[in-house]
Amino acid sequence: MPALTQTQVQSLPDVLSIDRFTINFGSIPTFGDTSTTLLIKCLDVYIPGTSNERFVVPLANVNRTFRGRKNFMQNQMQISFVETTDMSSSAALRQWLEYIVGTNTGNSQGYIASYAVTPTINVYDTTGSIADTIQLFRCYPDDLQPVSLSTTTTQQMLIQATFSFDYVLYGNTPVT
Amino acid sequence: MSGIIGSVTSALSTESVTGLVGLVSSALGIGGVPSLSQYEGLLDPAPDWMWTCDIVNVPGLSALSNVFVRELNFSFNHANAASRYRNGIYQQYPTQFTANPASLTFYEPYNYSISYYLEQWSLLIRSKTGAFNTPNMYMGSLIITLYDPTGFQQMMVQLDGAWPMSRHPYTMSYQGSNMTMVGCDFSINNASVTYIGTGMSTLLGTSSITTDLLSVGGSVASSLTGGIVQLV
Repeated sequence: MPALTQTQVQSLPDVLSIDRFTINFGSIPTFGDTSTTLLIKCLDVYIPGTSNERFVVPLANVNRTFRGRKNFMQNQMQISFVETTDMSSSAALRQWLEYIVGTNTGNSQGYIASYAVTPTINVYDTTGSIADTIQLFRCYPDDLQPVSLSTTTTQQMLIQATFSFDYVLYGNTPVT
Repeated sequence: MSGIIGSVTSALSTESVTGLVGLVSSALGIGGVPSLSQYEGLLDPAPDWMWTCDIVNVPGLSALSNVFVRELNFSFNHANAASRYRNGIYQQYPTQFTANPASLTFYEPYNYSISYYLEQWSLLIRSKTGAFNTPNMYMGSLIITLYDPTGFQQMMVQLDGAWPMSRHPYTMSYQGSNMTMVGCDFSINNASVTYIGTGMSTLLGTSSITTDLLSVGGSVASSLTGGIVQLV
């Protein structure tokens, strides 16, 4: 393999930047459409990782490793949202969580088919074209983290939530 | 007697014994410390998480899909041994062959349909009025399929004469969030095995055979934890 040339390097497409993305939850229970709330106000998200579990088989003086089951980041991911004065980020997530488990009764308003959604993460290139699409299946919030209030600094209020999901499909990867 | 044995033993030096063992081992293709290249030639191990278990042929009940079976522990037929005294030593001979019970853990939907299924099956054995049915009215089969890492069926085990013998206790608690674990032990009459693997044709001279297993004490334990099938 000869050393890389200038021509080879220059032939690469533009790099992707990490700040051009959307996550669209669609319509969530009780709150409804999130296109003007959670979609616009999402600050941090990540493309879920995936792993093929492995296991080790000790054989005499040799360890052999083999593939195991498929995992998706323990089926959880954290997403941050900016809060606005209408408290719509908090409202959306609180109402969603309350739908899943009622504070007073401990009951769900429906089964998982009604409280889980399939959010889509789109990653865009510099021209605005979609470079990658990721879908999270059977996704719902399971944890709304404490919100820090403080007089020692001045900064935006962040709403951080942890979401559970069953599995992920990556747009550019064939599923077998 | 001890004098004769002693003279024979002393006549063999350490070197000659080692050489003899080496010759025997070489002739049989066994023994010796395995080399790295030998391990490289091993096939992938049989995974203990790639399997399905269907319940079929229960009179009056529909087949239970394998998606409901979460954990499985089954055995093959095993022989009991009886001793006979011959030439100053006890020799063991096989007597009755029996199959050990199979233990299954189920995914219980919120409507407790698995509990209902097991209850209905139990009522086929002994009705609410205390009347017992004949075996042909309650015995079913468990069909267990074992796959290789590519998803190819390699082995099928059919456990016939199955009926729910003992349902596991339900453990309920306010101290956490877990699904209700529903388990049941099934009595089994006979385990028959079909090997589908292509490699078997070299080993056994046929691409697919069905036979009653004669292995003594062989069992396969499986769980959702991942790993390889352990033969013990």
